[in-house]
Amino acid sequence: MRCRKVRSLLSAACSEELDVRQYAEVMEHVASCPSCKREYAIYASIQEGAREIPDEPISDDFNTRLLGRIAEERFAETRTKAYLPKRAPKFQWRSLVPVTVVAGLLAVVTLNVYQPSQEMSSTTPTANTPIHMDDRYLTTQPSSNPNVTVAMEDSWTLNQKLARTERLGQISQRLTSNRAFVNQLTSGTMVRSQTTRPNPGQFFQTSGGVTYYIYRVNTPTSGGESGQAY
Amino acid sequence: MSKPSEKEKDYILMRAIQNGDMVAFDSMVNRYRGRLMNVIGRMLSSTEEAEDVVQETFVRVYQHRQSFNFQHCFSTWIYTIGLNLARNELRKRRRFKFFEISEMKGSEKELAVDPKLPSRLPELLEGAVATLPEKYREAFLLRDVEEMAYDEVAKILDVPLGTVKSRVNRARLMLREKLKPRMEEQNALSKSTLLAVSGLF
Repeated sequence: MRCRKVRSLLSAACSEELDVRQYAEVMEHVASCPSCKREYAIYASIQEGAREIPDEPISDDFNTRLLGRIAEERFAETRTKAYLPKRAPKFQWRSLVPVTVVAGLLAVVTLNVYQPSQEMSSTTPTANTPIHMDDRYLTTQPSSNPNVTVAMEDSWTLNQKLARTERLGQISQRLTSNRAFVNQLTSGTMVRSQTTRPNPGQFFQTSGGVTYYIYRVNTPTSGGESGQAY
Repeated sequence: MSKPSEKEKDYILMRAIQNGDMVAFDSMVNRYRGRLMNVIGRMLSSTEEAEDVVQETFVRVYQHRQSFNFQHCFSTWIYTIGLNLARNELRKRRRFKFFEISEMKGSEKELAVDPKLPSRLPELLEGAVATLPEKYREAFLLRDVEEMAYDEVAKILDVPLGTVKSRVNRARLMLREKLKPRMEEQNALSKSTLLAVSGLF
């Protein structure tokens, strides 16, 4: 083995890191080569010196200080465990399903339960609620077909409905007094409205572009044709 | 019944620490504080800073005690934590590059000419180790000072085995270069060493 090769293996030879064959070859060369022997001695000294390097000094209160810090850690851990969740709970949409179902059921039940009572409250006025007349019974129906009942518009006020009823009463009176017109009606020679197609059996009259429908007004009190609603 | 090995002792203590046994923690500190100080102290070349880093290492061990994997060696784990913290400390120092460079230059100069340098080889060697580049220094300290196996050093440094061997060998060569003139000058290479070497043959 040449010096160059031996010197590359000297440090490993000192640390006993070579296999037996390599170690024997290196040592054989070192024994016969003074310069390599000197190099080997330097490496051996370094190895020896490394093991003899004095320990780093440690202060006497090392453990005391450390255990103090650990006590702080333990305290912090206890506080964290006691008061704070380790991880924020993850929100899951699936958890909302039962809540939504229950809320929906409650909403349906509430609407069903409270609707009649609301109606009741509208019919039983209190001191604070305004008093409205109940005019639901005010209906009209064609005179020729009393079975067909035509309700007045819900959005009309009572006064509008009374005015309408009165107007119809006047027309009815006028028509019944005009015998010729009645004859025309019964013979079916009247001109029908171009804009509105009347129901079967409904009578009408056109005059100056105004269409009048003839109704028989039913009222609970009179039950007749009067314009009086009650 | 055979005595537990060092590794088994570590595991027994670690189990106790995981169960909140502070006496076991104190025993673990006593087992490792000296070894960690020797490595980290020579990495940082400052006893005070090294103590702080070693303390921090034990605090980290305590904080992460529940995550310790018993498939691995405890000593590898604690050295890895300690060396990572030491590297962070060195990185902080490098931010003050001016002071770092002047300090390094001074130490090399001292090693070469200061007649007040210790004549004993271990002290000489300690000074020379402090001047090694970081990656060679940590490999040399773990392998030749702490006398760890190469594979354990490789695990601690998280580098391949071949790289560790190469670094250790390179560190020894550097130390030889640094120490040879000094040793010859002060005759530190004792006759006894040479005689011992001669006695091998």
